[in-house]
Amino acid sequence: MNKGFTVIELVTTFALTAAIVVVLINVGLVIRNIYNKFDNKTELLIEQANLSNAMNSKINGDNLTSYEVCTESSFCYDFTFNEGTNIRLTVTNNLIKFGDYTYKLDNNSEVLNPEITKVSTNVDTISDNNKFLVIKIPIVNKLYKNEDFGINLIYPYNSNKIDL
Amino acid sequence: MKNWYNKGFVLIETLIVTSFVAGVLIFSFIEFTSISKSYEESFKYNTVENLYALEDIKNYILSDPGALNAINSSINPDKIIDITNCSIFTSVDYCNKLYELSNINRIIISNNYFDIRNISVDDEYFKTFIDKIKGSGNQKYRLIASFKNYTYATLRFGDNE
Repeated sequence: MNKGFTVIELVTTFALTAAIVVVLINVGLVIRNIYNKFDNKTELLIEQANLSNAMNSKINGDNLTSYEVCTESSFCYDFTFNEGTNIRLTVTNNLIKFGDYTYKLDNNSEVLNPEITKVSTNVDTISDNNKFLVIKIPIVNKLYKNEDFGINLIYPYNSNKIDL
Repeated sequence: MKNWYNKGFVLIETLIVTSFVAGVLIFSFIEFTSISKSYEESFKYNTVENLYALEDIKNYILSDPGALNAINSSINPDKIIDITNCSIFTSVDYCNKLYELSNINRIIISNNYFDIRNISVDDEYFKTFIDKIKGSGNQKYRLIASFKNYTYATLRFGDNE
């Protein structure tokens, strides 16, 4: 009864310890993956928020009077405001510049088909807003499929007062 | 006696340490799950894009006297108004296009002092967001919206009382 008890005890102890170590390693790997995932996503969302704020506060905050195409890049527009100031928006595959604000995308992100469009409505009163200027700059990331970290800016305006 | 103390000592010791480690792991897992869930939710609530979209809708409401009258007359402390179908607005077409461009799924107006936890909605995630809203500020009304990309936002507006 005495023979072999210590061996059994040691084997059992070793097996339990090995199981705990395996679980701890797995938990550590999972936590590290979750941390990296959240870290990347947080960066993307912060950049999106900053760029959105920079563009919205200027375009929706000040009085936009006109915009025109420029040639600095394939997607380049100069926006002019009531007080005579100009701000340039340029978008390339991995860089977005709006005035002084620059957003350099990471290696996993890219810009997809940015566009500026105008949407009309059937509002016919002269004094009310009747159109929207829509600026879309979709940004996708390989790590987060089906999520858009880009810009969707809507500027309501009255086409009887300004001709965009 | 000495043999009795020696037999099984390592095993008992390991069992005790295992129990302790397991308890710490379970506690950490529960706390971490709770934190990561809150963190995930923070990505979806009151994003900058959505807040600017609600700002546009708020400005449209304030510029439409018919809509303002409809809100003032219909809303009271125990009622909300669902404005998703744009029926209160003078131009339904403008409203529909604004919602479409903003990716609005559903939008309601409540009295800012209303206990908004009494609002019933079908979408359980929308309800979770509404339950987390803390009524504050001096503005009369509150816009609460769910968007098509499963994000949510709220904005207070109206004259200070």
